Formats: sequence, structure tokens, C-alpha cells
Amino acid sequence: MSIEWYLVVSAMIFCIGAGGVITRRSPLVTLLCLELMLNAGNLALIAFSRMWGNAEGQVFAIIVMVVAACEVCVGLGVIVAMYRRRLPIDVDDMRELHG
Amino acid sequence: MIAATGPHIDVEALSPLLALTGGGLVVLLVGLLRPRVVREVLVPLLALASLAAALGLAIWQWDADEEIIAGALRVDTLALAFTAFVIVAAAITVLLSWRAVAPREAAHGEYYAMLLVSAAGMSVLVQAQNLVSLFIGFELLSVPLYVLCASEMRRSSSLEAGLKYLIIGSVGSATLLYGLALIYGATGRTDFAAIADALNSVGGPVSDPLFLTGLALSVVGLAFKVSVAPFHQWTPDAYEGAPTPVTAFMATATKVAALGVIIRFFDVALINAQPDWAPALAALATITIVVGNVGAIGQTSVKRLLAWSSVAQAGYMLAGIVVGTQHGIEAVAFYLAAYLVMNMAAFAVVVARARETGLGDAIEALEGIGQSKPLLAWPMTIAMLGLAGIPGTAGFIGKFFLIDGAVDGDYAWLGIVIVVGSAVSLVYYLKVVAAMWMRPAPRSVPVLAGGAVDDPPADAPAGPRAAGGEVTLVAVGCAAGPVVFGVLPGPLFDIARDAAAAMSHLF
Amino acid sequence: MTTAAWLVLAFPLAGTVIIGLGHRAWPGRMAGWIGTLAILASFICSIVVFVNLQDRDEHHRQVTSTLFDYADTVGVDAKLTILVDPLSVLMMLVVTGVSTLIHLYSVTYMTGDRGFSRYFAYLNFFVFSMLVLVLAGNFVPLIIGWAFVGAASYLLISFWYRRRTATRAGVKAFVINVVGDIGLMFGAYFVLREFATLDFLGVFEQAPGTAVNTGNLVAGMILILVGAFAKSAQMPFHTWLADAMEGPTPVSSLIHAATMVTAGVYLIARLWPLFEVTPAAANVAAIVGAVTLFVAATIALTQTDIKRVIAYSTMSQIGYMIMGVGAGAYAAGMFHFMTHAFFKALLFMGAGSVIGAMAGIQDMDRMGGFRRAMPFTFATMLVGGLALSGVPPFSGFFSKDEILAWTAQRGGWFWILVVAGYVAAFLTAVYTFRMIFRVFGGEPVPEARELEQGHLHHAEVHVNPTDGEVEDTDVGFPGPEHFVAERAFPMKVAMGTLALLATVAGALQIPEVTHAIDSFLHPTFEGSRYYESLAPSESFTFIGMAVGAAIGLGGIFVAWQLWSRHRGVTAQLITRLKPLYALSHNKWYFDEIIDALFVRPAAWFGRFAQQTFERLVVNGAIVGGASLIVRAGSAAVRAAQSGLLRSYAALLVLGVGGVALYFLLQS
Repeated sequence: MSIEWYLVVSAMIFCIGAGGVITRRSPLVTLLCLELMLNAGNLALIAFSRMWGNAEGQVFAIIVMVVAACEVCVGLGVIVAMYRRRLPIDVDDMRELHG
Repeated sequence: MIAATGPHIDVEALSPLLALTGGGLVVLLVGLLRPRVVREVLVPLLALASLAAALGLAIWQWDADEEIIAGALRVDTLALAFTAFVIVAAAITVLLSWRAVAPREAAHGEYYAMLLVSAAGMSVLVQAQNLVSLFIGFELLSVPLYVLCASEMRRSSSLEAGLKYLIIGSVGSATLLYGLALIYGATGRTDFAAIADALNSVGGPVSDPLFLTGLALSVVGLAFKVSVAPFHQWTPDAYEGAPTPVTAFMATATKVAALGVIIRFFDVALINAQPDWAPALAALATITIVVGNVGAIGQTSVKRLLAWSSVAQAGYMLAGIVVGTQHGIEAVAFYLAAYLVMNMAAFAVVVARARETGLGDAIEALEGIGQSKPLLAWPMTIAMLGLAGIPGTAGFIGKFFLIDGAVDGDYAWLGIVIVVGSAVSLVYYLKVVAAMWMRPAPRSVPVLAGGAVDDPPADAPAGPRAAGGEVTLVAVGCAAGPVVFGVLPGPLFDIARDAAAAMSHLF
Repeated sequence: MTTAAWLVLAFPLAGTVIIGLGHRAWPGRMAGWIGTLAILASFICSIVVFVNLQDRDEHHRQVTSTLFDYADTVGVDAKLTILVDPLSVLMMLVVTGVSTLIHLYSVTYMTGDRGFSRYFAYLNFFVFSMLVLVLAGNFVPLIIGWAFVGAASYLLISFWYRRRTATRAGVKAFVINVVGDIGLMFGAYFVLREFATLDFLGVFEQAPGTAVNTGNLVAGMILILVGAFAKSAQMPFHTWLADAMEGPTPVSSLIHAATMVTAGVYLIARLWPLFEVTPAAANVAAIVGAVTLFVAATIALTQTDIKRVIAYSTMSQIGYMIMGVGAGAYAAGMFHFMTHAFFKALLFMGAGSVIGAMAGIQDMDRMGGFRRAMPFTFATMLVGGLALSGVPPFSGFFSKDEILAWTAQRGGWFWILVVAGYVAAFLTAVYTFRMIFRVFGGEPVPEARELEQGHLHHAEVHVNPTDGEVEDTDVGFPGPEHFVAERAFPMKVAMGTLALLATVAGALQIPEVTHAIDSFLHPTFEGSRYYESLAPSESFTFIGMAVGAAIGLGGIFVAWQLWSRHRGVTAQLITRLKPLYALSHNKWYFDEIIDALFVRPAAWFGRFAQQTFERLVVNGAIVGGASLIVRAGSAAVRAAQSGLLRSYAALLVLGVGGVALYFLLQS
């Protein structure tokens, strides 16, 4: 199977993720969409890694997984903290800082 | 049975980074101890000690010029100089955090460990020599900062800033990652030098759409971290909401690291594509200077004003990178150092006044301090004049060399943009100066009315309190910088020239 | 010798520091005397430098001394160097000399003001900055001095800082001056790129070797001219000077007439080797000078505020100097600078005396008949007015004519400038004597009568002369009373000395008789293309002088016809001397024609220039338009900063798309 197909799929996933960040109001869903964007990168990396026949892309992808996990962890932590403060869990309501 | 042979590890060259990460771990563990004095005094002292050690080791390694860990990192004067800047910024941040609310709420161990790890990430970033270490550094810098932003957990704006920064920052990271993946796809390598070779080869991928898309995405991802417009929008919100010491750290150290990696990535890996990316970066720099300067006009919060000003300043410094010459890098390094001390002086004054008045970071908190608090008013005045680039300050000399670099690299129009931007910037910098010297002090200080702390924790002293000697010390010490280097710029020039000498393949 | 030159700088600085440190503690007029002594000491040192310089061989009269290297790291030789040569010494002597007299005058003029010590600290600081500018041997101290005098000027214009009009005028002056500073800085930068040095002598050495009118250097010199024009109030950067009259009158006299505003002239003369290789830029200077001298003279004709008349006159006279040095008549320009410093400072001092007598009123419509009440002021102002109008044998006559004669020698289109210069000279005589006749001639106003009785009129209520707002006499406002010059000894000394100088200074350089200035400045201008070759022939000179004298006297005569004849005293004279009147009857028609042809159109043009050009174009379109754009931009950027996370993300994605599109399309 040629590399293009992998790339098309990964680009679609990336766009879906980006679209989700723009349209969804729940921070939890936003975090999921961020995961999609990062994993789109991973898919591309692994595809390229196979194409070039070297392992550098795979190593990169594994590291990205770790990083993605960290980010989600922090994101969930902040959401929990907000929930405890009884703040609305809705990104559109976070408008205290603007201007 | 064959033992797996890892790459040779040069511990000496790695030592500044080890001091930072090791210090982070020690601080985290010591922070678990119960006694209050351990948490409130010993922990920050340990953080300072590991920063001092790292700084010492960086200076010890000054003449190093080698690749370590199988080419993942490169230790040279550029990396060491920028690491030193980051360490200084982190040390000042520790001083500003000493009596702040944030470490108390987030627990001292975690707070300072996070700070050290973020500094370690910045150090990795400016040493990064391949795409993987670049991304690791980038995330190691960012993730602790997301947490630090949200560390005043009882203040809703702190949480808001943290979450906004996290989400927008992750979009930026994902964009960068995708861009790096495409560059890897186009060249087949992750090593900067190998990428440069691939681009240089006949029929190389310079005009390959795959590569160009990757280039565009990584430009955006990196520009985002330096808060280049139109990717700047997280900056004012995150800066305003974050605890002020953290804002100071973000405004200075993050810029150092992000500009450092941009220098390395663009001027090493992508130098052969310079005609492709330079006009784009120049256009972004122009937009940034315009947006930053006009955005800062009419702000009433000093932190927000400084955030917009930092956007504009990022634009100025980008101009030094656009031209892709040693001269430009020298100018950037010089300006970064000046920018660092000026901003730190300004934030120190903000911290002090927020504590003393309970007015938070509003400009009103500064009114009339020319008479009553000259030790705070002078540093702020010097910082503002320096950021505006008034002659006699290091800010002026830095700007002068940025413009000179731009003109030398055939980007004279960018020099003009810098001048016009600086002229506009006088409007808001002088507004702060005028508030300090030309307005009477507010009669009565409202106790936390409209202050930054909307729900003070039980153990926090309510209402106005003393700023603390260390904050004044930081303010005065940092304000001395722009004046001293404005009169005697020689030593700072030597550092800047050493840093740029690492890029000896450039003109 | 350089020690003495450094001392010239050191005394005013010490004065500033001493007065400034103790500005709350100095009793009475102590601060004033300290300031005056500091400047006097500086003047004496200038004389020592002058004498030493004259002792040297003609070819070794350019001495430099460096205090310290600012930054020698990246090939920029930014040094704190002073350059002592005839040009800077001439400037130094005039600056310190006139400053000494004005300090003396101020000691009594400012008595009773609550900011007395502050005033002298500022004034000493100004003199220090001006001397840094004058003595600079390198672009860096030049720029520092340049910026410092701007700051000092701002401080002194806004000296009465609780007057809103004064602070606004100060801000305006400051902003325009900063524009000039930026121009100068970038001009210096172009010079640095061209010659790789910032040292004057180094630059001058290389300058003759470069090609004529290279684009970069012309651009640099035009930027430097922007600095010169802003500081010397030349079009279109002139709007601040009239407003600067909000400062105390001695300040107008020192800074906004005698010294600071002539810095542009000095700068062009100082950098002559550069201007001679960029004739395009020098021509710009000459033309702008000519336009300014003409337009400002027309505006002066229509003003009723006595200080503004003199302010526009200053602009016009500096226009002559700029035109002169732009056209290569360096010695003539500097000569006119010197005589102008004497008579213009004198006129301002006289105006200050009149304003004192009027208890702060500056409107000439309210004045009249002060001749008998203040004979000394009248006499000195008459001398100043005659010198300004260019009547022989007063100093202004020789210097103005020299500029015009030398400029005419350039031939070609320079003749247009010369004609403009002569027309403006006529207008100068008209407006000068319009002022003198209206203030001193005619029936005495009540204030003058009171003064004749020996009382000084005091205003019951103090009002701001600009907007009529009632003010008190607390700190930040003018003090309760200003001494009238007549009655105070130090003022008389200052005015008398200047009147003497204004009368005799012309003798330094009488064509075909003496050329003290020419030969003194010769070492500085050695090798200049124009310095010697431009000297006009004997007959040409004398024709020029005759025309100049006739024009000056004619202008005074017209002014007399228009503003004095119908006033009481003269009217009586006319009826008594009926035959004489009949004799001059025909001339009266001549005057009518002159009035209709020249004075009225000029006055109309002046009004037009002020109202339309200054208000609408400079203040409205340029300043207003720029600030409108910035403000609209700010509103737009801040509106985009909505706080809405999703819109931030959307803009980010949009930006990614834009950048990607750019990269894909341009390949």
C-alpha cells in the first residue's frame, strides 16, 4: 500500500482533531481532540518510518505517546480542580481573562 | 551474550542539565517533609542551590563544543549562554516566589520542582540537535508551565489561564509535531545536520510540497511558543491569569528557550531553505510588532500590558533571526539578556505592589510610588524606558544592533518597522512611568477589593502585607542591569559574540 | 587647553547638581546666584580656551580629547570625545556668554516664583546639555546633547506645570523634538555604515573621497536634517516653537531664541564636509530655510501676542541661517547666529519687561505708550528692533546681508531664495516696528500711566494669558509678581550689555574692512568648496548692502505709516506740521499700494499658513491621522482578544492554513 493513504488518513485525523477543538465546548472532549491531533502525528511518523526503513520515526512516536499522556494528565488535573471550585466546565464560560 | 552498548555519555557536558533535573527530584522529595521551615525555607534554598550549581557548571563548560548522547544534544556556547539566561531567570523566579501565594497552595516541593524541570526542558530545547530532542524539550518546558499557571488553585482566573494555556499550547504542540513528522517524511532523517545535508543534495526536497507543509507547520508551532502574532492570543490571558512570578518566568525564560531553538532549527537544519522561510518569518515579525504594540495600548493591568509588550518584543527579536547571519544572532542574544533583566525588574515591582496594596496588578497600584517608594519606582522606570529603547539603556543598544543586523541582511524595511513599533510603544510605556511619578498616591488602600486574590486561603495574611526585601532586591538588581550594560555594554557583547560564534557556518 | 574645555562642561553640571540637591534648602535668591556664577565660570573657561586656541598654529586648531570609550566592542567607536575648534569655540562663547546674562536677568525676573531653585537647576542643566552638543567630537555625545537639550526645553516650557496650556505645549515640543532625535540617530547610523566611524574628524577625513550624492549618504543627511529642522523649528516641524512661549520669558530668550533653536544651524555647519558631498541634501536645507524664513515672517505680521511675534521672527531668522549654511555661506550663517543671539535675546528680555509691567498680559492690543514709563526698555528694544530689521550700522544689518550676498553668488535658482530673503527682510522690518510702535507708541495705557507714577501694576486676579483661565500663584504657576526690568539692576546690566553687543557686533565683519569671523573660522572650513570661492565682489557687496539698508528703512517707514501715524501723539504732530504732511501725502499712496500689494497679502498668507497648514495639515492630518490609525488598530486587536478559547484555536488553525498556503504557493 502506498504512503499516500497513510498520509491521507493521518491528515484527516489531524483535521478532525482541530475541528473538534474549535467546535466542542466541553474541555474533556477538547482533550480527546488534542489526543487525536497528536496521534495523527504519530501515524504519520510510523508510516514514514516504514517508508524510509529506519527506526527514528518509531522512536519518536513512542516518545510522543508518553508526552501525550502527560498532557492529558495535567489537563484532567486542572479540570478536576475547576470542578472542585464549582466552576462551570465549559470553555465558553472561561472569559474572565480577555481584552 | 552481547551486552547492549548504549551511546557514550559525556557526563561533563551534560552536567548543567543533570544539576537541574537532579535538583528537581531532590526538591520534590524534600518538599514531602513535614516541618514548615523545611518547606518554606529549605526547599527554595535547595532550588536556588541547584540553579547555582547548574550555572556554575555551564560556565565551567563554556568552551565546550561537542555533540552528546549520540548527537541528540549539542553543547556549545550558544546552548550554554541561553541555558545560563534561563537559569538566571529561574533563580529570580525562585526569589519572587519566596513569599508568594502560589507555592503555598500548590505545595512548595511540587512548585519548585516544576520550575526546575521546566528550566531543564528549556535547557534541552536550546541544546536540541535532532527533531526528537527538540520535541521532548518543547514538552518538558510546556507541561510544567501549564501546571504552574494553574497553581493558585483557589483563584478561578489562575485555573482559567492554566486550562487555556494547556489547550491552546497542545494545539501548538500537535501542529509542531505534525510539521516535524512531515519534515522527517520528506528528508528521512531526524538529525539536524542530516536534514541540512538532505536539503542541500541535488534535487533535494526544498520544493517538495511535503517538506514545505512540514516547514509551515513547524514554523507555526515554534512561533506559537515565542508568541508571534497571529499565534499570540494565549499570551495575554495566560500571563494575566498566572501567578506573577510564573508570569515573569514565562515572559523571559520561555522566550529565551524558544528563540534559542528557532535559531538552531532554522539556522542549522533549515539554513538551505532560508530563502523560503525568511520572507515568511519577516512578515510574521511585522504582524507581531504591530499587533503587540497596538494591543498594549489602553491596557489597565500591568501584567497584561507587559504581555502585549512581550509579543511586540518577540517580533523585534525575530528580525534578528530572519536574516540568518551571525550578526543577527549576536543581536538576538544581546537583546534577550537585556530583555530578561528589564522584564524581571518590572515584574518584581508588580509583585511588590500587588502585595503592598492589594490592588493586584492594576496600574493604579503603581500610582504615586515615585514619591513614596523610590526603590520600586526607579526600577520600574528604568525597565519601561529600557523596553521602549531609550538611549542610555541596554534596550537601546540591543535594538540598535537588531536594526543593524536587519539592515545588514538586506531587510532594511524590517528595521524601519522596529523603529515605528518602538515609537508607538512609547505610548504605553510612558503611561506607566507617568502613573508612578505624576499622579498622587491613592488616599486609602482598599483591602483586597478587586484584588487578584478573590478568595484568600485561610493561612494567607489578609490584606496588604510587606513586599519582602528579596523582591526589592530583585527589582533594584535587575534594573541595574540595563543601566550598567547601557553604559558599558562590553561584557554582554562578549557573551553575545561567543554565543553567535557557535553558528560559525553562517556569515 | 582641553582641561579648560572640560571645565566649560563641568561648571554647569556642577551647578545643576548643587542647586538640584539643595533645591528646597537654598535661601532667597541663593540658587540664582549659584547658577549665574557657574555659567560665568564656564564663560571664563571658554575665553581661556579661545585664547589658547588662538595661540596655536593655524593648522593645529582642531583639538580632540576623549574622556572614555563607551563601547569599542563591535567596531563602533562610540567615544565621549570633545572637539575644540574655532567653530565650537565660537558657539561656546556665545552660548556661555548669553547664558550668563540671561541667568543674571532671571535672578530678578523669577523672584517671587515658588519654583525659583528648580528653575535655575533646569537652566543650568540646559546650558550643560547645550555645551555637550556644541563640544561633541563624535556622533554619540552629539546625540546625547541633542536629546538632553530637548528634555531641558521640555522641562522649562512646562516649568509652570500646573498650567494646562504649558504642559501641553511642553509635550508638543518634546514629541517633535523626539522625532528630530530619531532622525538624527538614524542619520548618524547611515554615516556609520558609510564611513565605519562615528568620530567627526574621522568622517570628515574620508568624506571628500566619496562619490557625490550617493543614495545612502543623501538619505542619511536628510535624516540628519530632520533632526536639525525639528530642533530649529523649520517647516514643517515648526509648530512647537510658538507654543513654547508658554515657558518663562527668559527661557524663551535663551533657549527658544538665542541658543538651542540654532543647534540645527550649527549642526549643518559642523557637518559641512558631509553636506558638500551630498549637495542634494544641502539644497534641501537651503530651500527649507528660505520657505521658512518667508512663511514665518508673514505669520509674524498677524500675531497679537508679543512673545509669539518674536517667536515667529526667530523662526524666520533661523531660516536665514539655515539657508546660508545650506548654500555654503558657513561663516555668514554663524555670524548671523551670533548677532541674532544678541538682539533676539535682547528683544525677549524687553518683552519680558513689558509683560512684567502689564502684570502678565501679553496681548499687544492692550499695550501702548510705554515709551515714557520704561525709557530703558524702550531704548534697548529699539536697538534690538533696528538690528533685527537690518538697519545700518546695527549688527543684524551686516550679518543678514552677508548671508544674502553669499547665497546670491551661488547663482541659478539660488536667486529665488535671495529674492524671498529680501522680501522677508522687508516684512521683518514691518512686523518688528509694528510691535515697537504698538507697545511703546501711542497713548499710555493705564498700566503705563501707573508705572510713570512709580507703581508697578499688579493683577488682582492672575489669569493665564493663553486661555484666560484664572490661576493662583502657588507652586507650579507664575509667581505673584515679576520685577520690571527698569527697576532692577541685574536686568539692566543684562539688557544693556546685550544692547551694546547688538549695536557693535557687526563691526567684527564689515565687508572690505574687517573679517574677524571669516578668518577665525577659517581653520574649521579649510578645504571647503565654497568657503572662499563664494566671497562676492566688492561692487556686488555694496549694492547688496544698499538694497538691504533701503529695504529695512522702507519697512520701518511703512510700519510707521500704518501703526504709528494715526495714534494720538503723531496725529497732533501731523496737524502742526501740515506742510510736511502734505509733502508726504503722495508717499501715503505709495504706502497704500505697498500695504495692498505686500502687507495685506502677506498677512493673509500668514493667517492661511497658520490656520490651514499648521492646524489642518500638520496637527490634523499628520498627527491626528496617525493616532487615529493606532487607536483603531488597538480597538480591533483587543476586540479579537475576546477571551473565547475556541476562537483562539480557530485563529491558530487559520494562521496555520495561511502560512502553509504561503509556503506552497511561493515554491
